[in-house]
Amino acid sequence: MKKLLEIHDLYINFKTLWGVAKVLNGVSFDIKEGEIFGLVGETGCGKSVTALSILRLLPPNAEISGKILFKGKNLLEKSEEDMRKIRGKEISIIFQDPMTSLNPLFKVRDQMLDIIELHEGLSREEAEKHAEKLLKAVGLSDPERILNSYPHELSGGMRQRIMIAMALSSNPFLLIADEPTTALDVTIQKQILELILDLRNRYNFSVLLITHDLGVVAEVCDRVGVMYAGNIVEIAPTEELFENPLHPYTQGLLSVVPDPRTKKPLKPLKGSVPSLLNPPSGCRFHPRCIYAKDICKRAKPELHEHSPGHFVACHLYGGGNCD
Amino acid sequence: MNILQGILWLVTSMGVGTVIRVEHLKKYFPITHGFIRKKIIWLKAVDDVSFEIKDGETFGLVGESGSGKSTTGRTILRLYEPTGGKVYFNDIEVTALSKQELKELRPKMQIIYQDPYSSLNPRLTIFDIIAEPLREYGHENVEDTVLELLEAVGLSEEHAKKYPDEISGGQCQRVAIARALALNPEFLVLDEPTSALDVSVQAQVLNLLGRLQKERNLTYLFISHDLGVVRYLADRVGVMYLGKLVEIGTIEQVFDNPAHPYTRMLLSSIPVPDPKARAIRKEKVIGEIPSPLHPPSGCRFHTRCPYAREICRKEEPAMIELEKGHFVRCHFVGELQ
Repeated sequence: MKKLLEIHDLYINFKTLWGVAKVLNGVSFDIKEGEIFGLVGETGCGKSVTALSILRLLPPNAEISGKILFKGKNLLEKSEEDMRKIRGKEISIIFQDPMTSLNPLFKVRDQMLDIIELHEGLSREEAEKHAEKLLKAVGLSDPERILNSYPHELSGGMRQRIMIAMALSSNPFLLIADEPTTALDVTIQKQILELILDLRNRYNFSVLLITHDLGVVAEVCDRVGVMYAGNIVEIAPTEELFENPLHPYTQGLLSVVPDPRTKKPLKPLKGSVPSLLNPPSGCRFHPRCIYAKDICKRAKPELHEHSPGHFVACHLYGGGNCD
Repeated sequence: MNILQGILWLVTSMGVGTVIRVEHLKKYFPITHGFIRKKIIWLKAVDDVSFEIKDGETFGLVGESGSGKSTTGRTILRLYEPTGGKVYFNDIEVTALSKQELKELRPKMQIIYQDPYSSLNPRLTIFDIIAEPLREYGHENVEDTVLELLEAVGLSEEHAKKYPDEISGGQCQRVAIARALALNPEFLVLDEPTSALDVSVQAQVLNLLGRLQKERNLTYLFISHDLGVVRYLADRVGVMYLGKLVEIGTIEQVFDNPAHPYTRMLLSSIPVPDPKARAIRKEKVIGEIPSPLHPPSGCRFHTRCPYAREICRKEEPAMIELEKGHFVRCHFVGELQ
């Protein structure tokens, strides 16, 4: 499959009052056409920053270096005007909280039609027909009523469906979904995940799914990248990652997820996530790693292919700069 | 050790010591409107809920948002005044106590909330936060007790001088636990205690809660929307839907052999951390949870139930004991297999 998005060596620093936060520390991965790629990690590991950097939506105090190739072209070199044509048209994003993503003062109709008119150059009437079709496609059976509603009149699940409909209105190549179901109840989460899967199968767009929930990853992703403190520590096809996790952090993460099917002991990782203002040297995971060696404190392990399609950044598995 | 466990098992299995007994508990909130606060409608957050929690047991209460699980927890402690029904704590009728009597009982019943940052006073040091209940109830040796408590929850003396914003979310939750334990309670309401935490920290806090329960013989009411966490910590579980308990049983009865259609829908909705399990989950999710202001007639689940028939729209089903200790509120409980 062709690669749609390639990120190479992405570094992002934020200048803050307390110093420079080194938020991304050389992130590289790619997303293929029609693929659902999951980015999983705990709070503050840099998954949302990665997503926002693709759309160049980071605040002005961010310093970015590296390459973000979308259909072969570097997004970081595009002009602001070009980016505006890409955002919402070729790459769309939906956020965690569907309550705050919609403007409470306008009816759904106005918000949806504005976007469709802008990107598709349709008349109001054509746009309205298109909107109704989209709402039906995301499982909202009464589009007329939805279009006439204000956001507060709709449930969280319905609002997230509307966000998805808006995000897909111009047939994007890539949908970025940043914790799309975190604010929803499990039964609604299941519906939304099934919807994303179903729409991907029908329209064959790629998805970057950002989540902290390994259950969600197991449910819908084709491939997964695991992030820790600004690094991608492991990338693998979903089944491979769950069956044969290589990185000690991935192993740790998998052993602390409570499984509703059976009661297994949870073995928590020691310590907690480091501050990115002053991250550990070498491998950022080394202070919490039970296998840490001397080299882990000195050198940052690079991501390398351990077995076909399975990448890991850990000195335990060799990879160029290890003894 | 084995003999001790044996005796413990004997004592608990003889049915000695029900710590909490909830009978037909109701909590209705008036919804008012306009300048004169005219009441228009009652929101029945908890509507005729009954269950028991035994000594040293963890009773899980699960359900989606708006199901009334948190309101149940708070009404049991009389943080909300119940609209109806009774709550007993070790044969003391909590719902009949005067304010003064209730204050005397408070040390025995404590609560831990979801968000550790907003439940700790940002202007007090960790030491003072934990010392506050001790001083309020006139304890001596406050300093020693606080240090002991810090150690019991896995914190050290150096944390005592800090303020809540200087420590992590997981550590804040440990402080909240230490404060709740300060007066040696017997019963704790844990209201989504790990929902705001990352999974790795969640595991630490869950293990801590498990250890403290054994060491101090605590009884827990564990409220959570996360069924994985409930399976990990709870012994028995109640499933709530729109203010009603629809199923009660041991963890194994409810999770491995769910009888109510809602429990089945809920269980099959949880994403399981195993990609191979994708194909197994078949139960379809229909619709969304209706507004608790206008709950459906009859069985409240009938609007989303794949098995619903005429009677479900008209009559509310009674709680039926399916097997020993496994209760289900459904008209067709025997027939659904």
